[in-house]
Amino acid sequence: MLYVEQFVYSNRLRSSHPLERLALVSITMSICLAAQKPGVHLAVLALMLGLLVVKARIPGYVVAKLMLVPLAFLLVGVVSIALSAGRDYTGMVFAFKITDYYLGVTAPGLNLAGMTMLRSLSCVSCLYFLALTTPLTELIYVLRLLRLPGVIIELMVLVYRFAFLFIECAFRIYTAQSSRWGYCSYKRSIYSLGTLFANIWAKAFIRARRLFTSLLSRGYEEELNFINPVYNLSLLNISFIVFVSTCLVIMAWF
Amino acid sequence: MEYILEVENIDFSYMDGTKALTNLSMRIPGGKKIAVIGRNGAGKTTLFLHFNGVNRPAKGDIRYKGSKINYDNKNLKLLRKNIGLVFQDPDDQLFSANVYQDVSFGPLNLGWPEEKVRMKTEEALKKTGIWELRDKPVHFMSHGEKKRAAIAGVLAMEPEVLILDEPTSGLDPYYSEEILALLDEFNAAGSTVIISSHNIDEVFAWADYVFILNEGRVAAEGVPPKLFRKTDVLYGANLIKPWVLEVYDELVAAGKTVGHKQEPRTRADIINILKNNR
Repeated sequence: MLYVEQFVYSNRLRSSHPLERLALVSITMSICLAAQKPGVHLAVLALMLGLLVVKARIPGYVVAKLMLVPLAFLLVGVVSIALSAGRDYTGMVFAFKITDYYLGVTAPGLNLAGMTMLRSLSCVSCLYFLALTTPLTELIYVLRLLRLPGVIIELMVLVYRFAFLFIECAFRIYTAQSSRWGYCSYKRSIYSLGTLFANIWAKAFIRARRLFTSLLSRGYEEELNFINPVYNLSLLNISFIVFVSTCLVIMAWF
Repeated sequence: MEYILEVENIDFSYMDGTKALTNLSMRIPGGKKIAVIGRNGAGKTTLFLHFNGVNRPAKGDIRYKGSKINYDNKNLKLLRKNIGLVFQDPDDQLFSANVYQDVSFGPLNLGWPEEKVRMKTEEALKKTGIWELRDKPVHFMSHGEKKRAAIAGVLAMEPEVLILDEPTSGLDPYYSEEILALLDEFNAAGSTVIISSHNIDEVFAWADYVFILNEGRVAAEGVPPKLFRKTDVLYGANLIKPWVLEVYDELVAAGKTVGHKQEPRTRADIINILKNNR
């Protein structure tokens, strides 16, 4: 998590207005979800990965590794879509006989599986584009612009900060435990992991109380206020987004 | 002398029954550099939380600039603007995703216009030397950087009294000195600075006036050269005599400080005395 975060904060698209990035992602993703032509998905995939590597300067191997993460889930899902079973094998391109039944793949099944795979990958690439170019602070800024309720935004801010705090804390406890042989056997590992979680849980409450005290000390009154940097919308970027979406729409439906 | 904060016979216990402060009285002179020292658990943090109204004494009074602290919302808010408190663990204080936002949190709460908030935030970031880190997320910062960010967050609110709970704990000697120099600067502009510390030598060199806390009350107080010679009080509070003073007293006893009047406060002072004696 921390490893990927480094690239997010140093990516080259950060100077652009985060609203532009969110707009690009939501438009392309909507097109991906609706479009039936494989070409559109391939185009989106190429566009997003290209932008990530060439424009945002996220190293190619990082993007590749991240794209492999959903692939494992996808394969399992796609295989089960592709397979069909029946008492006879008419229409099956390829089939096994298991007792009285045939297990095989049909042409429509294969098609559907392929489309599902492509659609998922193109959507994931869109999400990765957003995740890898937009630090949470910027995302929150955009959501605030879009008038998301304050409570949700405050929760996002706190969860983001505290997630890292607890990961750090958990790793420290884990290191301390393992340096005293806490994970030397299966039995001890279960015990150590249990105390680790119990500890984190207790720490969460203490932290929350201390945070509240320190917020009070800085004049907190039922609302977390933030100030945001000034971003400028760029005509070039907007024209790019409009151009890309028009092209994709034409590819998909005309 | 004018006292900026006065505490009179206060008692305070935590909900689990731990008695943190017992009949504690203390008068803090304004415009000075004050240090509160004492063993772990002596009540330093608890006392500091009384100064800005987060903790309320079960008994006794606290006065700020001569008038009793009023715990209604409006007055508390004003009190917390005037008395800035920097917590010991910066992770307790920094909650925002990036430094700029965190530092701007206090000023925004004061309801200042955005222009002013930006100006004060940026000033504080520059003063504490973390301007370059303003866009960095807090979880990528070192302990020293977080510590400075926490100080910036309070400085930006322009308090009259700045209270810091162990500002130099966990910092290397270089950053410790940097922070103390920053506090000097703040004090030179007329503000009162109160710190707690376990570093006796640092307190001896820095503070104008020192309180020793022990078991929830003030065990002794005074100007450093006098106070730090009360060795029995120091030992009783798990503290020791600053080495500069100890060496100096030995030199005096051996008659090796001829012609020297000013009592040393720092390492450099004592080296000077030794050089002049050659």
